[in-house]
Amino acid sequence: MLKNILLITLLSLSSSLYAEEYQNAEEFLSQTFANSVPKPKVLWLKKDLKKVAAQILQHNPGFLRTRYWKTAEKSVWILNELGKTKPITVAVIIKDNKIELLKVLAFRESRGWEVKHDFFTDQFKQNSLNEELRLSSAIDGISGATLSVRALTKVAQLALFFNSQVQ
Amino acid sequence: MKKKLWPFLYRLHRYMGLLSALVLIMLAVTGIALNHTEDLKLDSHKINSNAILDWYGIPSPQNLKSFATLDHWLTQVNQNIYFDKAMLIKTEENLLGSVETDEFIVAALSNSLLLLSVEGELIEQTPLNNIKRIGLNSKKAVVIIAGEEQLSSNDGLLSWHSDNNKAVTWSKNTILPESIKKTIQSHFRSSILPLERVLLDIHSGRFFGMIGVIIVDISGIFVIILSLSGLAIWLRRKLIVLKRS
Repeated sequence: MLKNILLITLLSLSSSLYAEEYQNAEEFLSQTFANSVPKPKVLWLKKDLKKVAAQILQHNPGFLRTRYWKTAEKSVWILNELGKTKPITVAVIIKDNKIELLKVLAFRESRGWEVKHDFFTDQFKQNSLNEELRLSSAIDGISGATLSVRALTKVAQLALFFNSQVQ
Repeated sequence: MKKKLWPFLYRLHRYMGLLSALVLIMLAVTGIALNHTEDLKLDSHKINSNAILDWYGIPSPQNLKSFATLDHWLTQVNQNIYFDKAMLIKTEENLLGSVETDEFIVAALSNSLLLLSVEGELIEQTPLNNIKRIGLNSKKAVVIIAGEEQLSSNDGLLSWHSDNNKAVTWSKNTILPESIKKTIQSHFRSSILPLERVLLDIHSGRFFGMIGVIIVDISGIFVIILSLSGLAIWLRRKLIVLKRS
């Protein structure tokens, strides 16, 4: 019973926040971990971590802790970042400190939705974080979707940085 | 007739130029600014001048919904959620209640929970479907009704357990102290109107009502006449110079 409740409540990052979602978090996690989703863990953003997160995001993160799902092989981070006025929900799978997959789970803006497509998100695959906390390969922009591209790039950097803190 | 035409054209050009100069400067300044909306962050900069807000007829909000914790208030005004007098987040969900434990403050929205430090800093927003109520049980654990189920958590919302305890103090609407209410009303009112909207309205003349639109229209016609009269004057001078040489 408890397990079911945990599964429903903790893993069902609900459809409410993701009103215009392409895939909900629960489905994404089930798919990623082949229906054996690990219990979520929590990373607290203490002062130093918060400072670096703010540097990556170019604004205060606006939260003090984030959940992640981790096995010996990989970790999954589901993060929100503002596009122009509304948050974009992005899931990032990291394996061996490199991005295995980046997927837009929900996009709420009226413009810039092109970033949800695989032709764009595939660019993030195999990217890692260099010493300047930037992605190892440059990401090509999309005309008219500058802010969305920027948001996804920041999420990729942040997920890689967070992952490096839980190794 | 021909002798009278050119002095008339010169005068027309001069006075039309003088008359439309102010409007053209206004159009140029607002146009340049609007061309760089994102760089200048015109859409995120909000107008807080009471005179302009009154001019637009933006009233103070009256529909405040507040819930008290031990020492604090969570308030919703439209899409804004406030912690005491400070803006916390924007959301499209409804605020349903708030509780305070020894370590945290938890506010329930219709489809998520806000976990706050006792100082009001947002720790995490946890999505959770179909929340109806929030309260505290006798052991100070957070209790919610989500869907048809009553659940409780005593570890900072990290895990939930089925809870059949009937002795729950549910969060209820509270009347907000007047000083906090006034600050929130003032903040909300000054968070509505973006500078971009005002510049767009000045650019089109709408800011000054129908008269403004007509003045901008007339200035547009003046610019067309100015261009044509300027071209005619320039061509005439060119021809005179050519004839003389």
